[in-house]
Amino acid sequence: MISLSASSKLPVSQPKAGRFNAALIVIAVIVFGFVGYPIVAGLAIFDFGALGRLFSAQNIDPLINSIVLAALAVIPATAIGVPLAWMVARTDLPGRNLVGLLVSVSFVVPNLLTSIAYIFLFGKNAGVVNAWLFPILGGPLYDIYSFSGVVFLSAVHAYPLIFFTTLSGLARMNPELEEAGRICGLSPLAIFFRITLGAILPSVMAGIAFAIAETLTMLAGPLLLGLPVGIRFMTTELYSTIVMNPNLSAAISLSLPLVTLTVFMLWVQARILGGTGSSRFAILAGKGARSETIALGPLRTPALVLAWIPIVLSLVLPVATLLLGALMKQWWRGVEWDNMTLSNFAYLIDDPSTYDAIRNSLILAVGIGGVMALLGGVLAIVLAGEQTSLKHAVRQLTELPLGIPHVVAGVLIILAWYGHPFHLGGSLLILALGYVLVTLPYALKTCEAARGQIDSALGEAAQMVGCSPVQSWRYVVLPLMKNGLLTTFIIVFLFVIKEFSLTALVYSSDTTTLPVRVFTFLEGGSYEKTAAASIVLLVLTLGGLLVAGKLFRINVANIKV
Amino acid sequence: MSTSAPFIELAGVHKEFGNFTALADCNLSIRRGEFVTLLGPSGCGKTTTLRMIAGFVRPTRGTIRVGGEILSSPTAHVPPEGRGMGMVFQSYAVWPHMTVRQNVALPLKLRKIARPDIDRRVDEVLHLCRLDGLGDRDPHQLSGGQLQRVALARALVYRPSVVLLDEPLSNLDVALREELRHELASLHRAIGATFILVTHDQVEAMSLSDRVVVMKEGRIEQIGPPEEIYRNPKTDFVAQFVGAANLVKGKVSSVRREPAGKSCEVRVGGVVFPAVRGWDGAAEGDTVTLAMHPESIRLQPIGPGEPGMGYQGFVRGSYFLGRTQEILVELDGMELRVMQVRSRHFEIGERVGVTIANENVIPLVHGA
Ligand SMILES: Nc1ncnc2c1ncn2[C@@H]1O[C@H](COP(=O)(O)OP(=O)(O)O)[C@@H](O)[C@H]1O
Ligand SMILES: [Mg+2]
Repeated sequence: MISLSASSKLPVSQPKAGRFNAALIVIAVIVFGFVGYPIVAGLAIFDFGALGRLFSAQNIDPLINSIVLAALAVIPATAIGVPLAWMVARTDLPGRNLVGLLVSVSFVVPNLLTSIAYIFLFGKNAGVVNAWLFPILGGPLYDIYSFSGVVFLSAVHAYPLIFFTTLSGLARMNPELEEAGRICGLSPLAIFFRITLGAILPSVMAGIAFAIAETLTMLAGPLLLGLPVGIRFMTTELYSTIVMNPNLSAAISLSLPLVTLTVFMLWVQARILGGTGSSRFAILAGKGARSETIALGPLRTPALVLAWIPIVLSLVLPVATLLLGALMKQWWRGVEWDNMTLSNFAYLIDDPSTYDAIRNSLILAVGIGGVMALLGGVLAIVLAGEQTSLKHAVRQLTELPLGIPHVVAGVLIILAWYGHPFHLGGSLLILALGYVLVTLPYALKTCEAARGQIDSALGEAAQMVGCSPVQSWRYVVLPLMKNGLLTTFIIVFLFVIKEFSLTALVYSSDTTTLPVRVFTFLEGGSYEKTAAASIVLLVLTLGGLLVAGKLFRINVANIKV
Repeated sequence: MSTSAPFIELAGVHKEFGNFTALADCNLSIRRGEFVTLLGPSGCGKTTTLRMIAGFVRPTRGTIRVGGEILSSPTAHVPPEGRGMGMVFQSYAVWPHMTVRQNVALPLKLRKIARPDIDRRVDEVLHLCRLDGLGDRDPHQLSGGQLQRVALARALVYRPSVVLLDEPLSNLDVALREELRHELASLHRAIGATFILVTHDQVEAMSLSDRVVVMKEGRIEQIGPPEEIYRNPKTDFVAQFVGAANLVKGKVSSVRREPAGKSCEVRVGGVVFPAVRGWDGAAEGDTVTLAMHPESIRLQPIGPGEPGMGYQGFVRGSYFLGRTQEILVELDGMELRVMQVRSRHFEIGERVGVTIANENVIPLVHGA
């Protein structure tokens, strides 16, 4: 019926390997420019003398404070994150899907905003709660400007991380392990403590390591709550060194302990996760049925309270505080009808520097989001296939920024691009270069995950029917990666919209972003306007998340920025 | 349909992954229009061979020619998209973001064929693969068998002269597998292209192929038409893998010359096989392995006290397989697997008479 004909063959030019290698080299040069060059610039001015002074008696405080902060913050974060993940994944906790979603949402709320909200509530004298109770107690109930205040805010930021990693550990755990426990007659709690906890321990530990790294490198909490009362941390030291009296060489030396600690914690995390295959913690990926939910029974009410406390503290309370604050004429007067107003938002609309900040933030978030989706997608495609040493080197370089805290990245960016020979200081481009640097590893990871889900046979099938490598990307690989690229865009968008640590070091008066504008409002003492600007930032952030979830049907729980 | 000149030619094709040899110095000639099956257990190098023909894997040594043109050699390599072959992947690899029609039309679109011609040819091949009316479906709305047919339609639509199939049926359930096996055979007859099939299923290989290439651990054990492979296996492995034959070791006790060749008497313990034919180099005292297919052994029940005919054995195991019965018989220290159409049930411990026709005893010669 179908006769043989010569039409089956396509004219094909000989090996395109040359062109492909050229693409790889171009990518390698680009990645080196974005990542390698700033690092080299930093290493070039490294001063060992300054390093020695770092460990002198008066300079050691920030280092100790940062370490103690991280160690203290992960304790409540773990105590909350792990049981919460278990309740959401395994038990019949009412509304557990909502709880899981809200933890994700609370993680997206910028730390800067949470800190501000708690300043409104528990600032020593001006905090509303303290002010209200002053007549009764004769003093403040609690002072958020304190070491414990910073610990609290760090824990609020860290518990979702431990929640996420525990949840993924639970998802990978063979439910038959737990069922075996039930058959043996263990109670739900006994199963949790004796079986589940043991099996997911590596995930929990990895989450703790990651949370420690996050806490060590955070700027907003320490800057807003610690520095005003003279409690110094590594990140605020760097901030002061750059912003108060710029000294890049000292900043680079100061960065070293922070980078070392971060890299160490990430190494620990990778070790734990990478080793699970053969270690005694092996979580066997079973094809067993999805485990049945465990009935909480009489523990239901305490479990509900336990589940909602962190959500109230990390999401409901801060958001409500900022919202009310934004709608008040004078926030210390509290909720009274004649105190409510929309004038704060009206002010923002008329304020040119707020307008500029919002515009800058949107341009950067959309632009960098698009650039990173493209770059990540190209990297994922170019780095796939047979591994050569050049590909290996490009990958390593791409992943390097994971170990660079944002404040340190800020220092490197200033070093590399601010002055001679590029003179990018004062332009949006320098911020963009900073965001590219810090988001590159995430962009690659997300795009590679998307690439990895595409069965290699799909690409081969395209080649088989006559697609050149470029055509097989166009017709098969890229369309299949579309969701991954959108996810990358959203992740980077959210990241850029709320970025504060790096921006705080690099911005100039012409290139403020929305978080910086919030911060300058706060420094200027106009709390109601701070709150209003915070709400705008919150709307943009959560709006991005909503669009991601609803429009693109991207799993919001996968977005951790 | 087939001419005798080789169309596809593998000469000394060798593939190493690191220091692991996946295919050792393979020589294979395939005629135009032939249906050839690579048969062997998992890991023996079938897929690697097929992917070298497709152009996804470059041979470490050796040359692959199709129609006289060198496609792979140490110095030249035509990429898969330049070979114009069709391939059905084990996972089907139907593109999930395209409809059935888009999947099948893409190869034609690449070939810059006019839109109406594309539509006509796609309809034609969808009909051929019994996919009428499914053109606008998304792949996730299709069953395994239908996906398989889409993969086939996509591989055939541009009329390739060579079609490669990597275990196309092994992801299907038994009934579908049988149905698609028949369709594959009639498709091959209908389009006349050269088909190379990879499978580990001897039924597939036997029923579909003009010739079967039996492979083991990266080497070709035997090449031949299905019946020859079955009747005259050259090695223990082929006898067992293809025919699930019983193998027993014995000694040649005497050799007779006959017009058609030598006939040997072979002793295995106390059992004598009086006329084993097909081994012309035989000499008295030689060791030989005899292969006997389970279905060529006959069992007769022996009533209590009866003397019985032939050799006597005991039933050691008996398994009901539906149409047939599998019986394990112990015969003078040998354990033989016997397949019988179910006429009578044999019980464990029962005495049975065992007979094997001379022509069903196949000598396997070692070191030859
Ligand atoms: N890309 C590869 N790298 C290393 N070893 C491979 C690769 N591809 C196949 N092999 C090895 O070669 C052997 C033959 O593989 P394959 O051709 O897939 O076998 P089959 O298809 O017969 O099951 C296997 O042992 C396999 O592990
Ligand atoms: Mg295979």
